[in-house]
Amino acid sequence: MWNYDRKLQFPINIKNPDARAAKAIISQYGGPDGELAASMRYLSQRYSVPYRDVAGVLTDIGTEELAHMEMVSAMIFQLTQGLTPEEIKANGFDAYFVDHTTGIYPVSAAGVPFTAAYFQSKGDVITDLHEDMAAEQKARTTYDNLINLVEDPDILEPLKFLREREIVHFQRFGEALERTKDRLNCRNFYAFNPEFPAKK
Amino acid sequence: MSNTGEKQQLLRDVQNVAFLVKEAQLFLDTHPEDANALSYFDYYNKLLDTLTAEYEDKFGPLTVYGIKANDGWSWIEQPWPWEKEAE
Repeated sequence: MWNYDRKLQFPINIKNPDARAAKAIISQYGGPDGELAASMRYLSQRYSVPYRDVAGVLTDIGTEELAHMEMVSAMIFQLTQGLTPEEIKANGFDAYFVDHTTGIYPVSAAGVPFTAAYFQSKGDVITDLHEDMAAEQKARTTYDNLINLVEDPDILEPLKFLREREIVHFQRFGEALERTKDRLNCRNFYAFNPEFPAKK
Repeated sequence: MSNTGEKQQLLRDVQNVAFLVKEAQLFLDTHPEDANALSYFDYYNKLLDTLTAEYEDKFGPLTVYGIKANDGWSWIEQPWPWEKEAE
């Protein structure tokens, strides 16, 4: 089970609302490489992994991604408080506003609603860990792009923190993959799927 | 509020130490034999307990296990973490 910790992983206090920044940053909540997809990906994959260390990595990173989802959501919330209808229109936030007002709903920057099709749980630990490493790099690139689009240090600091976490997670998944391979046949890592017995 | 500065500083201490614990946790999942990492984890995990207890005594619960019934239902009294007032 999970318990709620009444604190953010990294402080967020955005003094000036910015609808345009909110429209971009929301992709890291409900977009293709966002934190919702990340947490659901790892927390779905972990059950069938036969190695306790790898299941630990998936559980612990998946849990941290929930905290990142909360950080991104808190940023969107604070960025959209106190906006006028004129600011909403001028900054391209009107399409979102029509459907969600300033409620928090998982969509991409282009307004596409979240879908589980953004992630895979393949039931093969080698396949899943490769997806996970790619996912961390895609999220890192997305944060790079967001950092290029904003100037306000209140927004930049949490984005930089989140970007760094993608790099650390990539490193841990890479180690999990190496530890997985160490248990397999080094002449053919794909001789069998450790999550499903081979046909005799 | 006279406690605002102290409250924010103590919250920041809890956040910082919780981050060290999280980082060590992830590292140990793939380096379980690393004795230095384990003692690093243990040191900050105990410090986190101490800081969390101090924060909860002074400013209210951080988790459901930190709720003190003598204070009434304090769980919903403080700003939620996403509110600017939490900072």
